[in-house]
Amino acid sequence: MSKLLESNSIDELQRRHRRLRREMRDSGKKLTPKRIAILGGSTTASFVDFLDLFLLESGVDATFYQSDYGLYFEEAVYGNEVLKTFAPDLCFVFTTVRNIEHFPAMHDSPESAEKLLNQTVEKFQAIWSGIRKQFHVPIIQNNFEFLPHRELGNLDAADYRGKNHFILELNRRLSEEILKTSAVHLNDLHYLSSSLGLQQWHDKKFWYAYKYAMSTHGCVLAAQSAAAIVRAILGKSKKCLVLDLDNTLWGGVIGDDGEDGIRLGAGDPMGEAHQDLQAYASRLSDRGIILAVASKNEHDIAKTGFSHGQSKLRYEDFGSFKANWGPKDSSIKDIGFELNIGLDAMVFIDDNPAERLRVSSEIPDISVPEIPEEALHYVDALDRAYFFEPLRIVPDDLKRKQFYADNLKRSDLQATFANYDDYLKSLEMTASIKRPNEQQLERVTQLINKTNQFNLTTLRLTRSQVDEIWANDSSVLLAGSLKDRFGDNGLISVVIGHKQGHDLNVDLWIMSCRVLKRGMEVAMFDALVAEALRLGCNKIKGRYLPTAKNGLVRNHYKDLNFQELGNQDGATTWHFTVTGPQKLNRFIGVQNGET
Amino acid sequence: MERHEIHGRVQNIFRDIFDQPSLAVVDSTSAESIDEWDSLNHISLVTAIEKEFKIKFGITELQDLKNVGEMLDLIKRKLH
Repeated sequence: MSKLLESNSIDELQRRHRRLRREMRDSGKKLTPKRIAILGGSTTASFVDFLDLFLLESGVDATFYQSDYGLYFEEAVYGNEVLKTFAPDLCFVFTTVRNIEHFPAMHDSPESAEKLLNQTVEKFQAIWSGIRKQFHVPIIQNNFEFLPHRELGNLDAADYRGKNHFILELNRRLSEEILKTSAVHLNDLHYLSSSLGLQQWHDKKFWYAYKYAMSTHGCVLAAQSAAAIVRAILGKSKKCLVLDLDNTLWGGVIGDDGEDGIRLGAGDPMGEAHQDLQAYASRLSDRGIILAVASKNEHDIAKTGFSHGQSKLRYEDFGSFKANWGPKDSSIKDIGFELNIGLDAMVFIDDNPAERLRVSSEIPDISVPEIPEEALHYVDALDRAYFFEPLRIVPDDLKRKQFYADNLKRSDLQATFANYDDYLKSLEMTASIKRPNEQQLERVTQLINKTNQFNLTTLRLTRSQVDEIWANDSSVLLAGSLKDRFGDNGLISVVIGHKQGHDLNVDLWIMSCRVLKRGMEVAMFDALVAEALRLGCNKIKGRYLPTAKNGLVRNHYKDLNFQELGNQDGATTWHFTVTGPQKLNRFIGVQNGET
Repeated sequence: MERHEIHGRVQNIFRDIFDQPSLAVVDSTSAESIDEWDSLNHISLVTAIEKEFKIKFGITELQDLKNVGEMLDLIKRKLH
């Protein structure tokens, strides 16, 4: 992504967005409808046109509501009939520096400037809670860009009366409050405007004549960024970065030049650029993006590149490493299979345009950004596409890399057992299955929106919806975490249900594919039966809704001895009669209730 | 640049902005003759014209434009 920005200049987007939008709507591609309310502090029409465009590119067919001009505060806090009827899935508080009503005056004391800062932050908190009272939906909030002028010159950023100083403090405070408030997400206008340059960001004519707070280019950048946040909310952020080796992760060809001959690290401009790409990828992997290699090389020679003294990445950092002479699209499919990750959750980086073309035509779902010829721009190309946009970093993200490393040890161990049950016993698994605590709800939401394969109903829920279910005692919300002798797999399964008469209806049952075939689903089933008993239910009802990706769990309920009630075009319904507590799970030591 | 060449390029801009590939504009075409020519699309039109001809309109010049003919005359003047 954005393929749109790769093939169209800003001027072309400005001129042709209508046609592009129409073509994407008519393309026959399956689009997810979403209703988005823009509560704006300036004219938002052009921003909305571009947001629509980028969302269509992301597979989202959005319908928009735009607040009356400048009435973002009133509509958020006091509501509005039209907005209420519109019933948004998401609210975007599109404010800019033009909406900061009061800056410190020159005669203000430091204390009154501080008070003003607090009042400004509180105003935005009031907006979020106002929205939250009306709608249980995620909120996107812009922070503030610098103004084009500085009355205090350089001192403007240092003195408490300076507007720039106020903006810096305000952004810092706003970031803190956003991270503390569930389901509120930052759209970083401050970064976007700096990245473009304030001279290009602020367009005086657009402001004075049309009340646009930013130029057309600014609108495009803000929209591209906002679309990435929406994708992240919908669980469409990418999970895995597949990298080529020669002339991508290092300069030169490892097979010809050898470990000592490749260009990597200090002393060589190209070598430094390749090293920076490695460092960037390494930080991605530290926060949970899985790295993989697809390279045409001899495996044993290829891995020696990572023994280079300047290498930021180690061989062990890769969840899958395919260096062979087969076509790269086959390697990438193998990687997906091995890691249990959909091809649409992968990004492929290769310096060779022919390889990029082959992979993108053989695997239409994968993202293959065009990267410039020179290695010094690789990180830019990766960064500006917003592939891996996270909403929050949760503890499970930090464990993911270790998990995949541990998984290699698990497969080694499995190979030593002839009998699979013996292998499961040897793993010494323990699980916690309980209603999650509040800190875990972000991970629960993440898992709900990211899981495609072990997912019975593919019901997606926003953080606010999860909060609601969590707060309701008569609902079932089970979160399962699994440990074994190799390490902690983290929170990897969620079951959600609700009581209807004497039935417990299962609305959602998901599990991360990292822990397939460990018997965890059986342990979750035992816990679900206990929940049915707690709520006085004597039947558990489940549904399987087929998608292109969840064939894995077609027989899930059958395998758990449910009776089939019906089958409509492959969508099946099942029930199970609860007679009393059960313990079908044989391999996992389970602790229920509070830990 | 000749007026008819300016006309051709401006017409293409109109076709793009309004997504009507066969739209024909003449000197007397005005906001009243094209339904979707509202103030927001007017901004898009003006911006696209500025980019196409690498010219800049003054803030007051824009408000005075009544129809396509006046637009073409203004562009021609700016190009000199």
